[in-house]
Amino acid sequence: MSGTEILADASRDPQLLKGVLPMLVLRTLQEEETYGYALVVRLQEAGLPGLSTGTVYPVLARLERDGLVTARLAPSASGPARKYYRPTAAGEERLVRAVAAWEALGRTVARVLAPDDAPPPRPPTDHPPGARA
Amino acid sequence: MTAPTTTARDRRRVAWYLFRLDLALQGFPRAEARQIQEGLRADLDDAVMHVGAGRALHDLGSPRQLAARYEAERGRPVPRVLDGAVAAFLVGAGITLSWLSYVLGAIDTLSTQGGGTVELSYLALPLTAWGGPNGLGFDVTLNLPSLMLLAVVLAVAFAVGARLWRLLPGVGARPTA
Repeated sequence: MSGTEILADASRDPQLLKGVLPMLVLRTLQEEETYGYALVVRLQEAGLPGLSTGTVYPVLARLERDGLVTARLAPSASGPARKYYRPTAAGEERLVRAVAAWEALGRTVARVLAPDDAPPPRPPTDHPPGARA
Repeated sequence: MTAPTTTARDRRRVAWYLFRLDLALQGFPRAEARQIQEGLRADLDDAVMHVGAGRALHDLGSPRQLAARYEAERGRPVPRVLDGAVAAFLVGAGITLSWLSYVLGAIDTLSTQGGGTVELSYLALPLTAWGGPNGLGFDVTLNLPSLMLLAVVLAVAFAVGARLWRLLPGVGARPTA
């Protein structure tokens, strides 16, 4: 299974995605100020094809309420004014911490999952203590 | 992005969705609900042009689901004022119907027995019912105890329906990431 397929699977698992979505949103907005729908499209194109607008918009609203992103209205040729988002200084700080935490977690998960580093199997413990010589 | 292809039907579907979302966002501070609506309207406009109204609305989920997600991201649930009003209305309607059945039953009994007048009390509300060959009718006297009882019952129905306990500090609070 390729990395993109794994990410696609992750985007179908809300619990798996929930913890990292704010980080991905902040990172994407750090690269380029953008509006809600375009942000979702960019995340889908980045390897989360199952990600829906209904999942991202509430996260975006929370980041804005928490002061981690700021929004400005810009006129749109196609309809109502769009809200363009970008991270605030607090959002940038949060992103740095989130990335560090994610990398540390990734290292731990990789270590646990790595077959070579797996601890040797424990002996059976169905004997009562002291029964063995 | 493709050229704008929004039709009047698309706009109606979006408007209907946003109306239902507004109902589902009951309990949210009005400014916050309005902000959500305005942001969604602009983004939906783009999404509809890009993938069509059906897919755009499907991606958002049902208005209730979307409102629940916004609520979950808020960190704590909000009271559902509209649900409370509906619950109070249904309980009030139920009381009125049961009261009417009681009065009509009393009048019917009087008529069957050849006529007469009876003084009754139902849910602390005194009433006089009469029935017979000369006519049917009833008379009600509103009093403070009956009005207070009704107010308490409706208030409890509203509180339960609206889940007012969510206003208490610390109740239902969820940690945010």
